[in-house]
Amino acid sequence: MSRMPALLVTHGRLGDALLEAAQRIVGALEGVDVLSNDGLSRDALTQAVRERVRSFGPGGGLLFVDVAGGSCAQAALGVAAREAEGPMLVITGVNLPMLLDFAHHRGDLDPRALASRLAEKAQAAVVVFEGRPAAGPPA
Amino acid sequence: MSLALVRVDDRLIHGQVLLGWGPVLEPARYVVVDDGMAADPFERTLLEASTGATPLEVLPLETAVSRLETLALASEPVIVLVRGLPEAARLVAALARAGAAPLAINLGGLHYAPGKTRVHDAVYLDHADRAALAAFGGLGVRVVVQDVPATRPFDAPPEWREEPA
Repeated sequence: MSRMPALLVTHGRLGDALLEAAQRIVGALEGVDVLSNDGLSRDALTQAVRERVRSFGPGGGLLFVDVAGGSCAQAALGVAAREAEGPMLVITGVNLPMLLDFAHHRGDLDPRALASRLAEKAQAAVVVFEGRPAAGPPA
Repeated sequence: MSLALVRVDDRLIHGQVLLGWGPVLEPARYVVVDDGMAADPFERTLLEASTGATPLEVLPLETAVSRLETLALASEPVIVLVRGLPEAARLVAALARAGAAPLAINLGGLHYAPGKTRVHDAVYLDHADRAALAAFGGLGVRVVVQDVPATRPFDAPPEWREEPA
């Protein structure tokens, strides 16, 4: 299976930073594109998403967005729901563990199966630890 | 006894509204006043899905006026969104005729489009926008520029009503 394409649509430079961090860990991620909503109106953002996913083709791909309900998510959903050539899934709450798991499995799962897997992995990556005060008085 | 926020924002519902203003104003309801969105079932669904458990109504200008008159009298906070200044001026003028004009509107974001010139971060104006600003002046309604609660608000200065040299 060829490498599944993806687009990160985020606020500010979050997408660039996430992709850069992921690439430091797993190496170059070809076919993964980034789009920021900076300075774009609702219509301009939708148009920009439309242009970026044109290369996805009938094999489909994934759209990673940061905030559910945000402008990025709405633009991604708007394009995916009406204009997708192949299976195009939008995943909200993108984080680094999610992106890393995508990098490892983009060659062996189809977009639907991978999207479900990533949603589980990203949620499982959120864990809370509570610290403990040191046992004795500070030296 | 008033609408918590009447906001001009060409993104309508988005992160700044949901995560910036939402936790501060704790709206019981969002109302998007937009003829195009109201006439498009898909866009309406997209907006409705974006506010989670908080109800959202998408109304054309014509029916929005009486609905907002009612909501302005209720005690629950409501955030109203309009995509542009001319649309907001028409809405506020109609509300003023009904005696329900807000004291101020919030100018949140008007992004670049051809024919618009920049006056502030994420505020680009064209001729119709400048005329609308003048109309708000005529109605005695303040136009307060503020993208999110954490930034300092200021009144849109009178020179924004004038055409750039």
